Amino acid sequence: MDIMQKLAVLGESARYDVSCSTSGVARANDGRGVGNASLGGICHTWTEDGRCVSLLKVLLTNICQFDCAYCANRCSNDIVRAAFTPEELADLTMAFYRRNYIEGLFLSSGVLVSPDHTTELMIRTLQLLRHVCRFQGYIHAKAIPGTSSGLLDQLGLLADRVSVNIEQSTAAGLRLLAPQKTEKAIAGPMRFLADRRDANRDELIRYRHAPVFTPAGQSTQVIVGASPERDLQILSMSQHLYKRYALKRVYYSAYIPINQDARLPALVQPPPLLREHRLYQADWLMRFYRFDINELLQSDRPDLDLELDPKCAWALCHLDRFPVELNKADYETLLRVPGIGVRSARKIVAARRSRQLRLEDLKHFNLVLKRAGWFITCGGRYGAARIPSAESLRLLLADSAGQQRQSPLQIRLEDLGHVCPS
Amino acid sequence: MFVLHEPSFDGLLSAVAWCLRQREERPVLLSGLSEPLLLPASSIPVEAGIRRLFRRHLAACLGQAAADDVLKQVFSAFLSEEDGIGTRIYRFLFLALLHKRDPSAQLQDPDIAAVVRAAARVGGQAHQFLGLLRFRLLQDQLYLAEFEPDYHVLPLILSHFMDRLQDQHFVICDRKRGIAAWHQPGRGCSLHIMEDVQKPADQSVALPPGQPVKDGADLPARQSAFDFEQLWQRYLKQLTIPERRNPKLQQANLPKKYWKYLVEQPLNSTWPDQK
Repeated sequence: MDIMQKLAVLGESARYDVSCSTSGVARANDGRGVGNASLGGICHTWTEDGRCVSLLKVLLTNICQFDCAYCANRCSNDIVRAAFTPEELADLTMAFYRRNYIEGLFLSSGVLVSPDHTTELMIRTLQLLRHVCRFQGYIHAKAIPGTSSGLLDQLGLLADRVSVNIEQSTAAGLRLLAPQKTEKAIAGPMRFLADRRDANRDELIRYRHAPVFTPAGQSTQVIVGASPERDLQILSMSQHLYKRYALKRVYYSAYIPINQDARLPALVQPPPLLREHRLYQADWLMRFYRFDINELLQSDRPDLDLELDPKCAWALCHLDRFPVELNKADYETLLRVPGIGVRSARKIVAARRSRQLRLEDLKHFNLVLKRAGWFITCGGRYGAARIPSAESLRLLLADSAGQQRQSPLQIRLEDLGHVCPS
Repeated sequence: MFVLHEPSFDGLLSAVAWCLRQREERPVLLSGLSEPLLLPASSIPVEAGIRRLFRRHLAACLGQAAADDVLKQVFSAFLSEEDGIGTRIYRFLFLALLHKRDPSAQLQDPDIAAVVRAAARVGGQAHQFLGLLRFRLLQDQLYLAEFEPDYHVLPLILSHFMDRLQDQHFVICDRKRGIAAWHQPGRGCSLHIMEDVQKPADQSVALPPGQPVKDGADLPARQSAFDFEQLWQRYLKQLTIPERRNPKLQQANLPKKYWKYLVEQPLNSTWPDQK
């Protein structure tokens, strides 16, 4: 099999791993190698499904001992199997990097013989890249569930980010769909990576030139829609992971039916892309807008609203807190207004130091006025004739991605005057 | 009062300094390359060390960090090459020195808003090109990249590639403006005016004279056997998940104006065929 065929097979096998981030590390070239790392990350191109490509995302091999129900590479599937040699992969990465096609390498693998054996092969590839080719760009390595700590330690010293895919948010889901991956096999490496990184940060304070362990941290991925878990369970798990393991990101991947299996939903269902989108929105609220999961979802309402984004849904349940006066509200309150993002809130707080803000100034702050306009006053003035009821607001705020319905209440956009974007 | 300055950033700063010293009321700053005016105008030469002077004065008013931010923002706004940006930059710096505060927060003022927005647009496009620039390996171990940016972003992206590809001979050509930057390992980067701007991209570029011929590949022999452009195109084709196909989202992130110099461009079936 030539390298073109190997790349096609192993690139296709790796495409369901949605992580594409290259951010979190700022590293300048040391003058003796090739490459650097950019703190905010760089996107190089976009595939036809709209996803960003910034890394060479491949499996080292798609030969696998495990038989996870949802996976295209499971051992009971009859597909073309291939494997890179470490030298081939290192050459390919360097060639693509020198042409500025990629920021670095994303290396995952099927389980060849055993998790430890596979990890040793991955380590050999990364050592070739770092020490022989002197590659100083970004490397994201996947840790195989069940790998021993000694090998994880070596992997973390070579890679910028190491991640373990949790795939299912409950133990029952994992037992059903991926029986060879035990809870301990996943949680063990995650705990090790988190604790080792903490210890490394202390080391770096004491010795500036100590070797760095996973500077870009740890992330994980959950499949959405393969098992009957509710959004509340998925997001509670995410919140726990962020707090306990200091994860950088949790990725949510809509289940794409590949395999016919009694344990999985039927093949004909479309992937739950809207649900995945709402989960990402709720994840952002937890990480940047200081929401707690219990504010967004409760046991009697365990799923996110598909018609409205989670922030609007929360605001409609707490209308007693609105409208908010832009010139007086503190930063935390501004963050909670639908249509005001983190940057807009900071701009408002900075601008109002010099003078009182008026409705005419709002267009400079990049608010989403068609949402925020209903929840704010500026200098005591509200943008419409009267504050609408919860039902009318719900119709007005309904996402174009959700259902579109005619509003029975005659609140015309012209009444908003200068609050409404022209 | 019309003030003509040299088309470089130092020229603009020299004109701004002159207006500040003369306490000009509402000057209009124009780049010297514009059409000749019928009205009387003062022509200001470039002052030596003008950037250092501005950095010192701004640091005294705003602090070192804020001064660097202001100058960076002003430089990016200047690279947008918009009409009237010179006058707006003058007002921006005037307000910075007057109020002893970074004026970027005062977006109510139209001049400040224009400068901040221009800087953001230029910075945004520069960041895009960090990812969209594609190098081709020519003979003699030279990597060539071409692009046609809306704004003059070459100065902003150069330091990134000089750091990243410090052991590579490369040339980055701005085809729209006819400027090429030529990097030689260990000898830094030099800027050249391209002789044949009108030549289409697939013909050879007029390289700067004296470019060294490097024999004996520093790449291992097996690498040169592969066509890495084809490998990249094949790889991208396999990456698409058919159930998630969304060409509109792809185009929103990757506008058509960038497709011309992207190696992977002939791949997508919705893209027009190229000969």
